[in-house]
Amino acid sequence: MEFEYKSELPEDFQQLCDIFQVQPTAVVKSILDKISFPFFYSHINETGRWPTFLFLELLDENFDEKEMEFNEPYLERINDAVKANLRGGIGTPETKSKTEKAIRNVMREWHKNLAKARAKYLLDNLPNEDRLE
Amino acid sequence: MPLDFKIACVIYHLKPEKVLQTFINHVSFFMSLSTDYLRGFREATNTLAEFSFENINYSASPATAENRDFTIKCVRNVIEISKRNGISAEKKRKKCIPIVRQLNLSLNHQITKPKFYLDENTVLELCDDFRIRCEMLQHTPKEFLEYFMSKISLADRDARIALNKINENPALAFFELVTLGLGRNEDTTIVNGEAQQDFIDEYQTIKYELFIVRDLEEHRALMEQFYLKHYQELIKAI
Repeated sequence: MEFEYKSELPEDFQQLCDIFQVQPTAVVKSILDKISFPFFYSHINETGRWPTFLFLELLDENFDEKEMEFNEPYLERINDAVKANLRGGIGTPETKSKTEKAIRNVMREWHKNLAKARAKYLLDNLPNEDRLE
Repeated sequence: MPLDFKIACVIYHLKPEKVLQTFINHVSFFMSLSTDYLRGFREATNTLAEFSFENINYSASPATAENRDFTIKCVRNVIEISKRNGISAEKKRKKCIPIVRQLNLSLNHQITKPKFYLDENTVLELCDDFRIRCEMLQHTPKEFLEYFMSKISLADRDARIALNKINENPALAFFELVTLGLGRNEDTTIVNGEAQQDFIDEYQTIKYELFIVRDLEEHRALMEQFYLKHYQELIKAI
């Protein structure tokens, strides 16, 4: 999936990019690459988790109650995967990658089922005359 | 004193006895008969009411047995003031102070004394309002204070906020007002700077770590562990 993003660079950000000669796009890319639930919840004591913290903070501020009920079981399954593999510790390289894989599977299923649920919601709420019989 | 309450006090740099004294000072006989809102007074007064609803005494209060007519007169006067329009709740509360004093003097106190010993070295002053509520509802100061303390758990608060399962809790609401400065006028000096910084750093991240924990009990238990760990570090440094 590609996306194009146009925005005025905030002054402070632009200044930093100039001083350290960093491409703004490189900054954005480095953040985007690291936003990941599978990585975040399986690599508890590692660096590189800040971008996901940032994302979770954003979720916290724009909390959408509506779909939360649908999402809860998937979050619980992620938690189960973490508990089953890491058992409250930080894990070994093997258990970490096992956990990451398990979470990735949950995410895939979650995403797929949510897309279905949204499509169904749209269809069910069509005005009568537009409905395909 | 419940551990969760002690933890909450340490986290917010509050002395437990000062929190309890502030709580006692905000219990208001006037508020118990009015629907007005007064910051702190409403929360403290409702905490007592909540406890007495859950533990109702059906017998008449022996403290008022000899002066029943006078008690009724006082209650009527307070209600009459509470219904007045065009004056602020704070003014109404102040107008009730002489009535409250008279009422307390008229009581044949069964369960309260002017002072309450928390332990050998710590004395709490029981104000007229608080004593009247104890005598009329027939609960000891100890029962009320224990109930207040038992309702304060930061782990429970955080878990409920995270899972959007907030319940009504006037005791906690009162405690939060104290953390915001109610009843305090001195600045707090922070002596355990490093442990404090560690706590704040971890506090900022733990709520995101626990985003996937959707079960209230489990979430609360993990927050309890977190608070206990930092409590131990913080008191070490005090």
